[in-house]
Amino acid sequence: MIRTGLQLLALGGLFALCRWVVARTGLPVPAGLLALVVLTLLLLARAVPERAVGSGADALLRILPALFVPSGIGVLREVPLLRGHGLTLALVLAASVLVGLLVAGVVGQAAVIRERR
Amino acid sequence: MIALEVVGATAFTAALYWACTRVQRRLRASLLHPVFLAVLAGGALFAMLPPRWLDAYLEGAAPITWLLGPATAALALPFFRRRAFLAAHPWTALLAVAAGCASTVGMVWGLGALLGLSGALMWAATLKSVTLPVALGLTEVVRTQPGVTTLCVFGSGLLGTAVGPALLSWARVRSPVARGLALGTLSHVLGTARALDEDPLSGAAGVVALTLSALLVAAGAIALSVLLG
Repeated sequence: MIRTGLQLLALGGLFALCRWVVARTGLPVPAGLLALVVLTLLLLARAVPERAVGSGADALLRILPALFVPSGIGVLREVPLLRGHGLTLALVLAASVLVGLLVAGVVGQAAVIRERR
Repeated sequence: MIALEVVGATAFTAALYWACTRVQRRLRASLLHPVFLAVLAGGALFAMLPPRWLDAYLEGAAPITWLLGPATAALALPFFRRRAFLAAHPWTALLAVAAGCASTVGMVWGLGALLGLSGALMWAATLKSVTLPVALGLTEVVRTQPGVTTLCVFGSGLLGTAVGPALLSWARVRSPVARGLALGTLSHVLGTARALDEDPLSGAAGVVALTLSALLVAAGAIALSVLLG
């Protein structure tokens, strides 16, 4: 419990640090994404062992869906943006999802067959 | 005053999400993720209340939104734990994810331009295949809106999960690796959960694909936003 709490603080600290770096340098990168890349590299380089952040990360990922609720409800503020374009957006979304799935799947299947040779 | 709003917004979000988890369990409908129910119910409620209630809620929800940052960093762990999958199939993973991202973004920009979709909506649709915490971070870089982006990401996750497995079977994509990669690339966490139902190998492929897909689309979006100024 205490260990998870400390790990949560460490993840929060990493994000706060990345936010400071982004604000300071004006990098056009979201701070959370920067923190994700930095943590992945630290883990791969074995500079940070998995057990030092694992349980804190799992705890955050468990509550992650609930964190989306405010941004989802916030769409009420953006109704004017959608007015008259809802159907077009839905069509573009559906077509692009289906095409992407097919292309990724077919390319993946072909690559798997090549792997076996 | 702001402290009251923070406590109120946090308690409301937690209670709403908890209630929606209970409802979903009762209905046993796996596609109705509690987060959709919570957004629908919360949205319907605030649509009936005066707009300043919504303003107060969103202001009070700032700490919840802040937590998305550390949660994005936490995505490094599932990816790190599946690194053996990437080591075993590096080119297959990279090729399938890159092809999926390029074709879906190309389709958005092509069809979107043809049908006259506005810039903000075009970007929201472009971010649809990016896992939501990363997509929300990107909304600030590419100047689109978080709410519409959230809807697009939900849409891609739901549609891919609902029709993806049948579509892939129809296209004779039978390898669990390829199926997991396709579902993770387009439908992120929801697609990955569906892939895991089919096969553990598909689940690992999904986790790797959702991370690579987020990184690829983010890199493209950031590069384009820098080029366009």
